[in-house]
Amino acid sequence: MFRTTLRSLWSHKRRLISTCVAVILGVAFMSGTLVLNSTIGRIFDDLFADFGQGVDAVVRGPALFESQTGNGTQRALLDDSITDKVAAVPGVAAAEGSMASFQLTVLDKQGDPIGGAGPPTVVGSWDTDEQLASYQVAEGRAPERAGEAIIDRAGADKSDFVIGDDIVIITAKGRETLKIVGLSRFGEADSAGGSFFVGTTLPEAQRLAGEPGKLNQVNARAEEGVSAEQLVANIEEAQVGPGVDVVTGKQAADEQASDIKQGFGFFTTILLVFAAIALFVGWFIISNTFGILVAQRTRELALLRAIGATRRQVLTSVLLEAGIIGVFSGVIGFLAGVGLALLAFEALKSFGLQLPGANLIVEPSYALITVSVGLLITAIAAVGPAIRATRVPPIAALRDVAVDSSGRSRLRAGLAVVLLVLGGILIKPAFGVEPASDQIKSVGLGLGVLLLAVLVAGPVIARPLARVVGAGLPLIKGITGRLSRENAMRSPRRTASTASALIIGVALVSFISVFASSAKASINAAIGNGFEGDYIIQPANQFSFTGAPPSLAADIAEVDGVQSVTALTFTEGQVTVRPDRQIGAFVGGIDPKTTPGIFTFKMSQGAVSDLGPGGILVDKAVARDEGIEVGDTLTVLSGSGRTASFTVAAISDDPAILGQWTIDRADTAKLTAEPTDFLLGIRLDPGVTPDDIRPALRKVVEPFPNMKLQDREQYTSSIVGTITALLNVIYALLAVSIVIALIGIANTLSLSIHERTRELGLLRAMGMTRSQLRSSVRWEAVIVALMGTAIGIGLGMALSYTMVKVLASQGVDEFAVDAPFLIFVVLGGAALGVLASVRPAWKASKLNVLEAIATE
Amino acid sequence: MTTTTPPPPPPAAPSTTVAARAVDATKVYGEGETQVVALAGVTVDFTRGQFTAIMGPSGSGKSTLMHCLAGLDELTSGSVWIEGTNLTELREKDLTKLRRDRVGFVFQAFNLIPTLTAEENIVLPLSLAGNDPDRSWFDQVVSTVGLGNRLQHRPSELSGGQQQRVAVARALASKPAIIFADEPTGNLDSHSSTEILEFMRRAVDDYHQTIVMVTHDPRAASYADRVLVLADGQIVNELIDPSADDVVDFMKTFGD
Ligand SMILES: Nc1ncnc2c1ncn2[C@@H]1O[C@H](COP(=O)(O)OP(=O)(O)OP(=O)(O)O)[C@@H](O)[C@H]1O
Ligand SMILES: [Mg+2]
Repeated sequence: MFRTTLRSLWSHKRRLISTCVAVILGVAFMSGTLVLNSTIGRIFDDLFADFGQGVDAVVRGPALFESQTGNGTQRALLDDSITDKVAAVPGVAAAEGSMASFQLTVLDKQGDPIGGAGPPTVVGSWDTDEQLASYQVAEGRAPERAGEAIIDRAGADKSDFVIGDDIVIITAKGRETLKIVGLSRFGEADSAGGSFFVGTTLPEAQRLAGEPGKLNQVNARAEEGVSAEQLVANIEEAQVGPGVDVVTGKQAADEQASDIKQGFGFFTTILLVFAAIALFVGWFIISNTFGILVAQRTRELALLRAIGATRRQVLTSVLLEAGIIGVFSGVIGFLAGVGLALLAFEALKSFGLQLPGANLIVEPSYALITVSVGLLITAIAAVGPAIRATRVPPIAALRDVAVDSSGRSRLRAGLAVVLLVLGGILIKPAFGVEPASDQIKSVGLGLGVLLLAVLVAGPVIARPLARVVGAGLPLIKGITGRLSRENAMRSPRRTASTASALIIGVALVSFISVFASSAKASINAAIGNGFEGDYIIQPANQFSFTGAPPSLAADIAEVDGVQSVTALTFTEGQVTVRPDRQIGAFVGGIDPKTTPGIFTFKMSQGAVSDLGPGGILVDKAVARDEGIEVGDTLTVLSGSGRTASFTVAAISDDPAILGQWTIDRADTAKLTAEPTDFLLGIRLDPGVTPDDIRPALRKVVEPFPNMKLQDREQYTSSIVGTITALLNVIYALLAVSIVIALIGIANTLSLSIHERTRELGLLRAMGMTRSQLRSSVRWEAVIVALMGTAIGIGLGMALSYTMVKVLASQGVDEFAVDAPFLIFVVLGGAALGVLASVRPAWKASKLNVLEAIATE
Repeated sequence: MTTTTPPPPPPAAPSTTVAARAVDATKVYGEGETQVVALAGVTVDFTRGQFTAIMGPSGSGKSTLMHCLAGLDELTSGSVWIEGTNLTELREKDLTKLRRDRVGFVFQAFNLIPTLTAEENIVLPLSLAGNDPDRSWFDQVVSTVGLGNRLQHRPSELSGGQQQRVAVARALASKPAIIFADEPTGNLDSHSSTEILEFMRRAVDDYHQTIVMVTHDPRAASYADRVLVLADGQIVNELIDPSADDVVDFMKTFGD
């Protein structure tokens, strides 16, 4: 039996290649992600191991809460005095307090902010104890007094800084200028993982961070003969401060590394989701190919059965075939994935991620996982066709090839209806009044079930749908078009699963497109209704945590022609709703007195003017979910460890601009030492045009290159631009699944054409020209592609409409369809069909007429 | 047709009464040891309005001769003509058009496109050319072949005999210069074969069509105006207006 299997594989090798490609793409995506993830993980492990090398124990403030922005556990700061207490603990050879801030903007020589979404910029204290220090002086000297800085050599090279230059840092107080007195290195490297480091004396670092006399942590080194664990125990026993947390240097480094890796973990999860989509699409292609191969071999299988092969032997033979393909594709896919990871890695490097001695980490287990997944997917996809193969009665050897009757399957239609109803029930809450946020999951599940219903119903609807989609063809293309349409309708199961691969890709693309355009429309509407000012000032870098010092708002107000200015702040923190209920939160701060005329916030209960010092606005959805009412008292804990209580003043309904929690801007000082403004709205005097005043405003904003000035129009388009950039990445990832679908169409087409050799020969003998034959194949592909695209778009729109409904309370309340894009998708679908048909059509037209009509 | 080459001098020049002609037609398959001579210099004329049967042992080159005459296959040397056109000078595209416009075919089996109805199959060559069928001729053909109420059926819904009738009707529908039929009754019972043969006879007698039919059946051959006998790629004999018994007697000498 094994020999028969191998021979059968070999005889179909050309056609199996495309099946393999479908598996390979999905698997490569997956193994690439795994390799990239572990490599990056290893890099950060190494990096932080270097950070902690000379440190035996780390004393940190008590944990506050987990950051929502991937910065790990937020901890309270320590007092300067702790350092001496730690130094006095028995076994401690040296202790040194440190302070670092990741939230300051450093300007390069041209006055532009350094960094961006990539590796961070760190302004921190320079460790004086050489053994505790992670950085060493490479050139010049260490900073010794206020106003002096040492920067890392890689950063200096990139920004053309030399010793003696001035370097500008923007803090909450304004611009600070330091003199560069030295260049540092990080062990052997010129930079720590591509980050940009500015070192100052400890008091200077504290001042720049706005936290004089405060420390992030105290690092300690053990005396000879004292282990790190012993040292930690000694310090704990000494009780150097209330609630302090003492860990070994190694543990602290591991935690930091794992925080960063978690950030990448999110990225990995997303990539794996796309890999799963690609594999799911590939599954259809594989199952289709096997279905066709089995159908074509009905006679051969029946003959095997007739001469005495058992069902089990037939099943084994088909599954074995699938297994060989699965393993083969898995191995190739794994290797391709390593290649992909290598490429991605080079790309990351070119973005400035400086990685000391980094090699790809390829664990043997990854090979095992990817090959197993390839094998599993292929085997599962082949089970259906394999079972069908065992049902071939021996008598079929004497009959013609069986007809595909799945188009009339009652069971299939019934199952589709059941799934449809189930999906309908699950998404129903979306259309009720004010769906609660926790129903999103059920609705999401419902959408998945609906997708499944459409896929199950495929063969049932394929025939009538192909008839409709191809209705106009006979009119424009005559008999050629008639043949295309008939051929597309001929085998509904085959047509359906070919189209299904495309349905999934297109449904996701159009879902995301419609959802994004709805989000854009909602944002535009929110800004259109909510922002009445003429100018906005906001951070140039969306991911930045540095705003503008409050003095900027005051300076702007002085400009001639400015009627009013209002500023919004925000801080990360944690809200205590009840003693047993804490929620991570971004707390905004507004100036209720200056907002009128610039921002109009939608309110659900009460007015913005109800907000004053000590008050807080809560978003309607959160208020309902958490049972918060006007008059309740909430406690907010900030990232710097400050706590303040607020009384709920009103309930807001403007998640797009206000977010969930909003306090009085003046109260922000209760939560953070140095409040900065993240959004400034400006209203001009009547008669002053935005263009008139632009130069004057520019001049005031200029000292803060981290902030950008935008008129109303630029502001809206910049928000929308962010969404578009994100969309393009998603589209690129989904393109993989569409490419697989394309391969599927080509595959099915060439298998079908092979099956129709005799018929095509006859047509050619009757006088069909080669170009007529090609056109007939091409239009068949277009019909299948258009069917897939049409269903996909319909489905995508239905899904996003539901999603918009359910997210109404989250601020996405407008349903908008990006019609040109969807038209592009339809045309693209047809074009893909044409592309997919090129090779099969070419092969069909090159067919030898005599051989074809002689084929038995 | 695109060819403008003047016909070569006699005897190769086809007269207006010749529908198809082969001149020293030679076809060799393979090379060296495995070389097979399928046609060894056949020269033959098929006169307009005549029904010719070709007989001969299996492997004697009957199908090969028909395929070459119909522009489905190329000769190794020699030439073939359909009316005034020398097929050996035509490009692939023109050969295809020639088949479509001026040649009719009936094969032994698998004559029809399964996705098209009987009527669509009949007018297929015309549809491929983008022409509308001549309605009165179409009705005449259909009624002669006796398919009136079966026109909207698909091939799978027709019996083998009915399918062959559709195939004959298709061959007639475009009023070709010549119809080639390769064992058209080979798969049919005697009743259905008789029907098919009678249609072909009528097409020749009543509508002046030209038919060349390959057959192994002496009874079928007796419907023809003349019978050519092929052996080892050469025409070895010719019978004019034979009866079935004549053919049987004659074929005995070949031990077929
Ligand atoms: N494609 C080919 N390659 C090689 N030899 C071929 C090919 N086609 C036909 N032949 C050979 O040419 C010779 C003539 O074949 P042809 O099919 O014309 O015979 P035939 O008279 O039609 O036979 P039958 O009555 O069995 O149909 C045979 O010996 C055959 O083996
Ligand atoms: Mg033959």
